[in-house]
Amino acid sequence: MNKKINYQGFTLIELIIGVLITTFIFLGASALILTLFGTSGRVQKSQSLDQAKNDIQVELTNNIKWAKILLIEPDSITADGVIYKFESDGRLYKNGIPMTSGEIFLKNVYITDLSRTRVSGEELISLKVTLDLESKRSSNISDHLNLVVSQRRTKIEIGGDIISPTRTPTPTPSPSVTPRPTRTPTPTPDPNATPRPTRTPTPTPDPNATPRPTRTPSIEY
Amino acid sequence: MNKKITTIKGFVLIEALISIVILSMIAFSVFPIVSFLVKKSGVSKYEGRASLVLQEGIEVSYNVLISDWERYADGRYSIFVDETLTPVTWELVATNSPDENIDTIFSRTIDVYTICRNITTGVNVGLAPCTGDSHEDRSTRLIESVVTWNEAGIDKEVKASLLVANF
Repeated sequence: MNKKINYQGFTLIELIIGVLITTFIFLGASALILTLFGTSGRVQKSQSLDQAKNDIQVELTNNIKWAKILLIEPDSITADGVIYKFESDGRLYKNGIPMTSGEIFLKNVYITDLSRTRVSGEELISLKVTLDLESKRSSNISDHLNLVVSQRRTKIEIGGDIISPTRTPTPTPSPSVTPRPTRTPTPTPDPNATPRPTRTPTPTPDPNATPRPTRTPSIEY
Repeated sequence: MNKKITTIKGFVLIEALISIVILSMIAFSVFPIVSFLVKKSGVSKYEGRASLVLQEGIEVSYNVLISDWERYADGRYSIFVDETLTPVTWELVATNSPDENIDTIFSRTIDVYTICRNITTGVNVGLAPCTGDSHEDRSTRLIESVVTWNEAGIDKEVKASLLVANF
């Protein structure tokens, strides 16, 4: 029996072309994988910064806004006894417990009190907190936080006594701080501003209308 | 004599090429996903920054307005830091146009409105000027702020409002 086997595989040139194409694909794929890992790492660090930024924003906003007693110092804020301190190790501490990750460095922290005194003399704090956030693992991943929070005016009447928010006196006032001057109520409208439309006079209440119930003071949001 | 021919066939070049092309298409379909994720991350970053700009507008307006209720009429305002006073404080100044180039890319408007309440029920029914069955509530103002920016040719905005009671 004469048995003939016809091998029909790749020719050499086909194999070379195949190997070349496969090489190109692998090179492309490895570059893609490297980019993916790199992007993933950057996104992860960036997300850590965003998370820290968000945590600081939410925490400070909620606590300063509704605090009754606020104490402001260059590197700390005390809101109703809760101390937020920016330490030299680049972390924010809440009552001595770190609030931000050790992988994030907070620097260039400035706490500026830009409050206005009410005509009645009462002062409601308005703070501007600016700081830079930087990833400790990669210094080129950084972010900036510019947070403004104003203390809300709350007035609670208990048995005829009115409790209003107050600011505790600063223990060691800065010598450069002078008492706030009293402002004269002189509005400075923009000359280019369009004139406000004339308002319709307040309608006279209907004498037959049912009297409105006495409303207790409240804040609406 | 029995002649038996056995043919052992591998892939031909065209089959191999087609398989490579299909593989490549699958591999490169990952690209748009990565691109989408990166873009999404970028958007949320802008939105986060925009929310801080928005918060600044609302918070400053609240502090200034509550400090001197009668001084500021309804209208559009810009905020700035009054450095003529010691210590420096926030100030609102009437304007027609939005604040441009805040944090490089954002524009912001701040509007202050008097609101109308239903004479009978006291319910907030809208902005002044008021209609017959409502009256201006002199002790409540609405602060509305809008922050806009352009991102990849698309205009985006975030807005917030705060009802302030002076009691």
